[in-house]
Amino acid sequence: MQNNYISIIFEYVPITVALLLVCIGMLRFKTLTRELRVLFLFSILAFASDLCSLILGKYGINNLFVFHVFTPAEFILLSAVYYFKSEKKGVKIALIIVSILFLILAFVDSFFFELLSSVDSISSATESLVLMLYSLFFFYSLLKKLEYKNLFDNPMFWFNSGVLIYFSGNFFLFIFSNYMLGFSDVYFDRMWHIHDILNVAMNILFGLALWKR
Amino acid sequence: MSHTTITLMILAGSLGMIILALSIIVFVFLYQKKVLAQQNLAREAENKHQRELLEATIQVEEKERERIAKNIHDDVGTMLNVIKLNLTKISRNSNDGQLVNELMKDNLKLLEESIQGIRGIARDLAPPTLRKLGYAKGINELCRHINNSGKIAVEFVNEGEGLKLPTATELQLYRITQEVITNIVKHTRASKIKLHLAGNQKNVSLLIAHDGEGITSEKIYRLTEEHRGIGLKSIQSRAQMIKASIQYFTVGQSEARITIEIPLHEEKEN
Repeated sequence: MQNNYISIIFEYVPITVALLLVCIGMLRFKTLTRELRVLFLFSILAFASDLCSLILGKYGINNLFVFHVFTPAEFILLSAVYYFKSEKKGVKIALIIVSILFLILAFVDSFFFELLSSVDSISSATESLVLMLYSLFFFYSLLKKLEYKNLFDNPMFWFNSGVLIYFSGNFFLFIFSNYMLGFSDVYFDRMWHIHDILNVAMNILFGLALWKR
Repeated sequence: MSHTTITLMILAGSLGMIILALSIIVFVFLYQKKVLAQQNLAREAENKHQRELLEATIQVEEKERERIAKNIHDDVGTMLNVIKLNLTKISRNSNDGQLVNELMKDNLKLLEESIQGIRGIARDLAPPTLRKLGYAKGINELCRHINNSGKIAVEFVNEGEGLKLPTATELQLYRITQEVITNIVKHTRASKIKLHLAGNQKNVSLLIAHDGEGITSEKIYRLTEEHRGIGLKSIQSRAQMIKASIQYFTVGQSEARITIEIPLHEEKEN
C-alpha cells in the first residue's frame, strides 16, 4: 500500500512540476529574454515528453523511444540557452559544432547501438557529460566577469545550477540504465526515482530562472 | 560484479555527483560574494583616498589664497597706505617745495615697488611665460627666478624641443614641478637641482635630480597615508588629473631622482 503511494507520488509529482514550469513560462513570457524563451520552449518539450511517457506507460506500451527523441531535442535546446547567452563568437561556433556532433551520435546510438526499445544510455551519458562541462564553464565565466552583485537575481545562475545538479546526479543512472532495465522493470522503476527527484529539482531551479528573468 | 555492488555504485556515484554539484554551486556563490566584498572594500578605500586628495587640493588652494591675501595686505596694501599718507602730507604742505619733492620721490619709489609686488603675485597666480610660450619656457623662467634668489642652483635641459602639451597638462605639470622644487629646497638640503625634459607625441617625461637627501616612493606613500604633507597630496592629485605617474628614488649616496611620466595619447587639447 505504502509502495503504491510512493509510486503515485513519483509518477505524478514530476509531471505536475513540469506543468508548473510551463505555467511560469507562460506567465512571464513577455518579459523573458531570448535564452529564457528557449528555456520556456524546453519546459514545454519536457512536459510533453513526461506526458507522453506517462500515457504510453498507462496503456502498457513501451515508452523508451520517447527518450531517443527527447535526449537530442533536450541537448539542442539547453545548448541553445548557452548559445544565446554567450557573447563570444568562438564559443557560439563551438556550441554549434558540438550540437551537430551530438545529433550524429544520438542518431547512430538510436539506430545502430541501443535500439528504440531500450534506454539511450550512450547519448544520455554523453549529454550529461557535455552539459556538465558547459555548466562548469559558465560558472567559471560568471566568476571571471563578476557582473552580478547578487547571484540569486541572475536567472542564468538558477538555470546553470539546475543543469549541473540534474546531469551530474543522473550521470551514473544513465550509464547503467540498460543494465537496470535488463535486471527487472521493478528495479529500474525504483532506481529511476533518483531521476524523478533530480528532474523535480531541475524544474524548480528552471522555474526560479523563469521567475527571476 | 554483483548486482548489489552495481546498485551501490549507482547510488554512491549519483550521491557523490550531487554533493559535488552542490559544492560547486555553493563555492561559486560564496566565492563571488567574497570577491565582490573585497572589490567593495577596495572601491571604498579608493573613494576615501580620492576624498583625501580633494581635501588636500582644497587646503592647498586655501593656503595659496591666504598667502596671496597676506602678500597684498602686507606688501602692496602697506605701500599704498604710505603713498596715501604721503599724498595727504603733500596736500597739507603744498607750499614746502623741498618736502613735496622728497615725498614725491618716496611715492614714486613706493609705486614702483607696488607694481613689482603686484607683478610678482600675478606671476605666481598664472605665470605669463607659461601661458604664452608653454611649459618649457615657463620652467626656464622659473629656474631663472630660483637661480636669481641665490638659494639653490637649478639647471634645465630641454630635449623635448617643439613638444606641444595640452594646456591643462602644461599647467598641472608646471605646478607639480614647482611643488617638487619647493619640497627639495625645504626638506633636502640640496645645493643643485637638474631638470631634464624629454618626450614625443605619445608621452612626456620629466626627470628632476638633486644632490640632497633623497626619498623613496614607499616613504612618500607612507607620508601621504599618515595624513602628512598637503603638498605631496596636491602633487598626487594634480598627477592623477593628467594621468601622470611619479616615482621617487635615490641613486647611490649623492643623487636623488624624481621622475614624472605622462601619457599623451589620451589627452585632448582643451
